[in-house]
Amino acid sequence: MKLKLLSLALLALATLFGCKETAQAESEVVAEEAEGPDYADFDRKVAVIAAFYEAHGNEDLGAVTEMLSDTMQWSPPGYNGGKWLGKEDLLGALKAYHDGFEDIKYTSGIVTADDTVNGYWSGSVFPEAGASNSADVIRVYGTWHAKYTETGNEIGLKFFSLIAVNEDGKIVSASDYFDVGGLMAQATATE
Amino acid sequence: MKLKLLSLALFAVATLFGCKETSEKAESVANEAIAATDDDFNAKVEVVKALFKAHEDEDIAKMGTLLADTLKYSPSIWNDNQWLGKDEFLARLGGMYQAVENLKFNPGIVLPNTTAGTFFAGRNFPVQESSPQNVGIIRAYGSWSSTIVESGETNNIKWYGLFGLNEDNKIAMISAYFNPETDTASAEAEDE
Repeated sequence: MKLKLLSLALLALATLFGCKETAQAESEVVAEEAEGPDYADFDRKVAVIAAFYEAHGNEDLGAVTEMLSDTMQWSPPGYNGGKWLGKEDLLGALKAYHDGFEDIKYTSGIVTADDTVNGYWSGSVFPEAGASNSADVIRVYGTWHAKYTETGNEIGLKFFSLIAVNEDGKIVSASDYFDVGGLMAQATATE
Repeated sequence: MKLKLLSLALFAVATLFGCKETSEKAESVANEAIAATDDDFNAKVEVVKALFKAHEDEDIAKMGTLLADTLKYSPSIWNDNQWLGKDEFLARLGGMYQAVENLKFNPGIVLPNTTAGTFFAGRNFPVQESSPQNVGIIRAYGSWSSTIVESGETNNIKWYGLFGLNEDNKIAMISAYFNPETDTASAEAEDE
């Protein structure tokens, strides 16, 4: 009888500790999954991009230059056969904006039908096979406003870009999507 | 003694079932996180693809059936962030079809070393207060090519769009980002 008692007691203890171990393992897995997205990394990259746009708005080409990796790749908004350009190409484009425009201002956010919501996003859920839990590329939505110096015309621009930032806090790639032709049409319009 | 035996046996059984319940709860949490599936995503993507096909075919009537009557459309061209309706969207396309032909969608994000996927949905950043229960907005990447009727020149556009679909899988929101003017020099260089 003592043996039976001992066996049952051991069974109860084994079940209890086995259950605890399973629960711990499961909760750790769940916790690891829940901790998957590195929000600090995302925030750090968003801060770099926001600073980059602020420097562009201030027409501070020196600061902008410092924020770009020397090997950065840039895909301009105008179709060019899918070719990627380099840092000097982007700096040339930014300098042209600085030379032609003033009062350059960026407003972050997606303008929805009812509201303006957050302007920085990353990660992907669907398709599930290609889901990404990493903030490797930041999707950037916003609106630019400026004045074209030559005509005094106020311009607006609906803006989207895919931007990657490396561990050193430098922008390593940017792919822009916006109506650059419409921008110049607004700038040079005579009526 | 029998009472002790019975108590221990009941304790073991209760612990065992308690353990099972914990596992089921964990599965339930996992299921909540994946309430929407690839099937839901693919169903919405098929509607967007059908819209692209109708656009290639310049089939305004077909496009009309894919769009909700309450469609809200934000064009790429600056309009002070005003949202347009279904009639305005279709009227713009009708005007476009007078000027271009041979419309074709070329899918995929052009990345520095490759061309990646075309349709995406969902996100992990910024922080989400609760697990999403639906697919959400479809993000579409690609380029459009066409022939300008007047000149015969090829027109290419690097293009990005957001699509929101309603419960009936009708497209209820479109927001586009692109430069409608082609870089003729680059296009010619590409042709060589």
